[in-house]
Amino acid sequence: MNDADLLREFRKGNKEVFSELVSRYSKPITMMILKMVRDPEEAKDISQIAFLRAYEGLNKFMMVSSIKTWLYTIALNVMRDHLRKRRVTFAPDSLDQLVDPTEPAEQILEKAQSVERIRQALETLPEKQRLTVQLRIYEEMDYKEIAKLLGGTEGGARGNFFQAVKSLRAKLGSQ
Amino acid sequence: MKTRHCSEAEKLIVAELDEGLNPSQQERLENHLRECAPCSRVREETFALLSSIASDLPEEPGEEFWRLYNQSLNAKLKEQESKPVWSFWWKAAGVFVSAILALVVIRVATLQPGDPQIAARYAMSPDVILELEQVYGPTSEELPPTSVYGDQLFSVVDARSDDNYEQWFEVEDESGPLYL
Repeated sequence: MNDADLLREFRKGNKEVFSELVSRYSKPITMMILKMVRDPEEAKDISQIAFLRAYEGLNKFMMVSSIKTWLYTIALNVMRDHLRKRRVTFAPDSLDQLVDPTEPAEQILEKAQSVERIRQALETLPEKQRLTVQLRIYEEMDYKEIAKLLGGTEGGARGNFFQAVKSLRAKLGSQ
Repeated sequence: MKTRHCSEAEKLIVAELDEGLNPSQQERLENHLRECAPCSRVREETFALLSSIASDLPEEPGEEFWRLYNQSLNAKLKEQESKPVWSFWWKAAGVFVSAILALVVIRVATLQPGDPQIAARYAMSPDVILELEQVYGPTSEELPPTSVYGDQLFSVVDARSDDNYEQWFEVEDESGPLYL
């Protein structure tokens, strides 16, 4: 059963099919959020709020985009609200997995500091530029998809990516 | 010194590392980089930056995380399913009451002392109707005389059925005019 079939079933009153949508998209959506908030529990909460909203709104969904795009849009909106309420701070432990313990301590420290600097620089970017970079690099979305999710045009999304990279290089170069 | 070619090269460098370039763009970029050391450095830095971002991925949570995720989401969905009717009607009732209150507040705020509508409303109040009923009876076909109730003057000009009390009388306030 494809997404459109699931939607039809749901509208007929078969609410059980929603669990199929959850099993298809909960993992990629939660992982997308996790890459941005860096905390599994927070990512879980945001992702679940997104699915609860989707459950509430599915009957009104007009199919102007795919269900996947619609779900990602809801999840990104919930995440943006969440991040606006509290600025993200990265747990130092999350750097552990990036370093190889067999490397010399100096090198490990340098690498961790560099990753931390990049994360902080990313945080200072305008929201749309930051999300464009994250969706492009982590989710490997094309610019058409990014424009659909964040609003704007494909060219605008490409421009946001370029501006973000330019700003990041300038910020990191000046440190 | 940064030239127009350097600005174009910067865009091509990001595009090269992002989506790739067509052969003519690639050739243009390579030609420029052969002659421009600063742009070659920009390429290296951009490559390092994008690689660092791409490698900074969180570890995927284990099976237990996903099991708990599904379990708690199902519980929340069930909870949501069990309350929508109540929450909908409470919301609807709240909107309705708020709208009525807003209308009353607006109406009261815009009424002026001596406003004919105040007198008309006063005359139509259940107290006045009860008073008229007691004096003239509810089905009187006669035109009763003028009567005073509180500081309002009433003169009943027509007698109709019990259901149309409000059409029984005219009201006169201190300024004189009569209102139906």
